[in-house]
Amino acid sequence: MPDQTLDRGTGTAVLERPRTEPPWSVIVLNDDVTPMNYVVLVFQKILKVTADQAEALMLEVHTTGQAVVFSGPRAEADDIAAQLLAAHLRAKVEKAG
Amino acid sequence: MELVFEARRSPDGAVLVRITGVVAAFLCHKASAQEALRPAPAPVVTAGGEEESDPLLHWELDERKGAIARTVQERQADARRTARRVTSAWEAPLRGGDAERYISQAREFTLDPRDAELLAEWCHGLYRAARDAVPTPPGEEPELSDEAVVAAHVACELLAALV
Repeated sequence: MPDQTLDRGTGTAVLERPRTEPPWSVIVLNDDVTPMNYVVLVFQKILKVTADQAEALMLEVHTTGQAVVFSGPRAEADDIAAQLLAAHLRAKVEKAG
Repeated sequence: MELVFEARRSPDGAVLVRITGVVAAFLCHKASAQEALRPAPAPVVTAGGEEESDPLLHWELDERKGAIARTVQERQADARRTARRVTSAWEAPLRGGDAERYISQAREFTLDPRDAELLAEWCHGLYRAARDAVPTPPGEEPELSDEAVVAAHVACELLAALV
């Protein structure tokens, strides 16, 4: 719902556009230590994706060095990054785009 | 000596673990050794472009970085406590009358899913520590120790039961 404020000078009600937060990305970085099957299972658990989706993400990380595994609100991105880091993966959060 | 660690989900949502005493003894030894150590430091959070002593996290400087680092540190501390508690239960039969049998024959234990999740993270930390202890030239596969193999297996078995 847009917010409504009152312009005190004119007494006119002013509708404001809802502020949309720019999306944030969680990026997982490749490392040479973590076994692939562990990464797939962590992605399934934390990102709630299927085994096939998790494997595709893992292969992207493995072959290109990194992959965007989540894009959305900052708070959610921070939470996912914290879970990935606690699972000993390398992750970072960046503004999307 | 048979190294058995299997995990599966029971119909009521719990995680059933089958473990031989030799694996239990290894995990218990690791958990109790960690108790004597100081807590791990919080992950280093650096700004983009800075020299990274530990490139665990690196994103724009703001107040939320510290909060994330604390969350990770708290979760890892929780995982250490969980590992100690869970492995204590596994250790008890090793001191009992049928210890000889338990060493090679697996017993079943039930885990809360949250405990299983934290234990998986802790075990993967053990694997990383064992793996990092063996310097390996880039591009070469390391010679994995039994410790690393067991820890990695336990972590994956637990996670596989949870997803």
